[in-house]
Amino acid sequence: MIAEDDVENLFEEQATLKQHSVIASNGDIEENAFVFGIEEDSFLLPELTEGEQAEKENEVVADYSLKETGFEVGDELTLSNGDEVLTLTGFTESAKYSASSVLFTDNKTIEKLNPMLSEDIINALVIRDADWQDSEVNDELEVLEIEEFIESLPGYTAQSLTLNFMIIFLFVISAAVIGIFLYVLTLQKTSLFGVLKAQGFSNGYLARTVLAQTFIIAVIGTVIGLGLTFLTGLFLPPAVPVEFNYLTMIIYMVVLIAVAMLGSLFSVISVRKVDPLKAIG
Amino acid sequence: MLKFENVIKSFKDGDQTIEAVKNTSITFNKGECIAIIGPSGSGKSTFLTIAGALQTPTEGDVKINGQSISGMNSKELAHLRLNEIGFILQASNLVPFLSVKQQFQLLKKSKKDVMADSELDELFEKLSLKKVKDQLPSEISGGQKQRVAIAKSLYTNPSIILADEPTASLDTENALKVMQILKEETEQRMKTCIIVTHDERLTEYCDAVYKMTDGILEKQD
Repeated sequence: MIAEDDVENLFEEQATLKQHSVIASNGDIEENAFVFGIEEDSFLLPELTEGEQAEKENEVVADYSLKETGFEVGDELTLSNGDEVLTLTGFTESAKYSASSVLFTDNKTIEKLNPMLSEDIINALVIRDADWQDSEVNDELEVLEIEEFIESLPGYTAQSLTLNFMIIFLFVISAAVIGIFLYVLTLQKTSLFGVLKAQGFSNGYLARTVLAQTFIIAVIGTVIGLGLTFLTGLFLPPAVPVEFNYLTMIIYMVVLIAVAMLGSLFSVISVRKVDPLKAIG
Repeated sequence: MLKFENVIKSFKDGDQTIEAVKNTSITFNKGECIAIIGPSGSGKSTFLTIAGALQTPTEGDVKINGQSISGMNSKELAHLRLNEIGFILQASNLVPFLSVKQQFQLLKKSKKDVMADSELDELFEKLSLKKVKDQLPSEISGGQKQRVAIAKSLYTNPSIILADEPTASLDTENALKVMQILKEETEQRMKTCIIVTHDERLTEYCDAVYKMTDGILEKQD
């Protein structure tokens, strides 16, 4: 809890945030959610994908994932912890907190839901200020970059570590699979390489052909993989938290191609060992 | 020109040492077409592979157009084979996923000094290969494949042609046609042509016939 007076006019742009967790029901469906209380003119005001902004008390704008589970604009939402009824006026995208949907409302509404969040008490201050580090704040307060804040959320580090390890191991497994695949391809052409060597094609020339073939296959494979990934993403339900970061995907593509080239080195070594004499019988 | 100087090739077989080629000194000159006959296991193929710089002798030296192959590393031997030697083997050994025309384009990428396109067309005509230029090896007959292999061996203008049973899969008409072409190439372009064969019909086209018996090469009258 933060006293609003302690953080007044500290930064270039700042928006107060009050937060309260609820279980919201429209009569048919129940979902965990976080109610965020924001100021009317705040930069935290969500961009709508459907419906209207919550302009009156007890009106809320919800994350689009609630629509996927069956909530609609106009629904009357009852809450597990209280008698207040909220009206769903619109939907917005990418509004989740700790994997739960967010319900945006005004401060008066959230103060009714949680009396501890009285008029001058907030949970957080969201800042837009390039020089935020130059401002002095109360010692009892902590100022964090958003990335740092996300990483300190309970369970986030454990989740992302698990995911990152999965990705790393997938790359390692991909390297092994690609390397073995290319090695088998090369083995199948041992006699051909032997005949070409007998005809006078150098090891260097044959190695370059193997590397070129690997590169072409790897590029085609990763492009197809990328296409299938995007296609799969189109059919994933909104409940699955997936976001495609193009830069990250391009980096992964480059790494996969590099891994394929590394894997092909085993094939290059085996080509060097081919005895042209044995190949021509 | 191909010269063997006291060449011996031996192999270890358990405790025994087997001399596949016994002490051989011989010179084959440019413009000569030579047949080597002999029973299986007599050392003909070993002789041919040493002549083709695919393996080096255990003792002695082999000179190809004056260049000694002793002491050459694998890269140098490959370079020598590409530029000086044309192999015609029993199996046609064509690249399975390249058309007939593309087999020659591949060779042209590695070696710039090849036959002119007009000369190649003429060769295709002589070997009855014009109709199959755009076909894959799987789409042509065994005889056609072998004729393509023969054309390939001549395409790179080698100074030495080494053939191991080149007409084994050909009918009489085509076998004699091929021999005629090899004979012409040898005489007109001053190549050295050595043919290992069991086919006595071919010996008539050769300037000399040698017989290989238990690793010893002897000229036949």
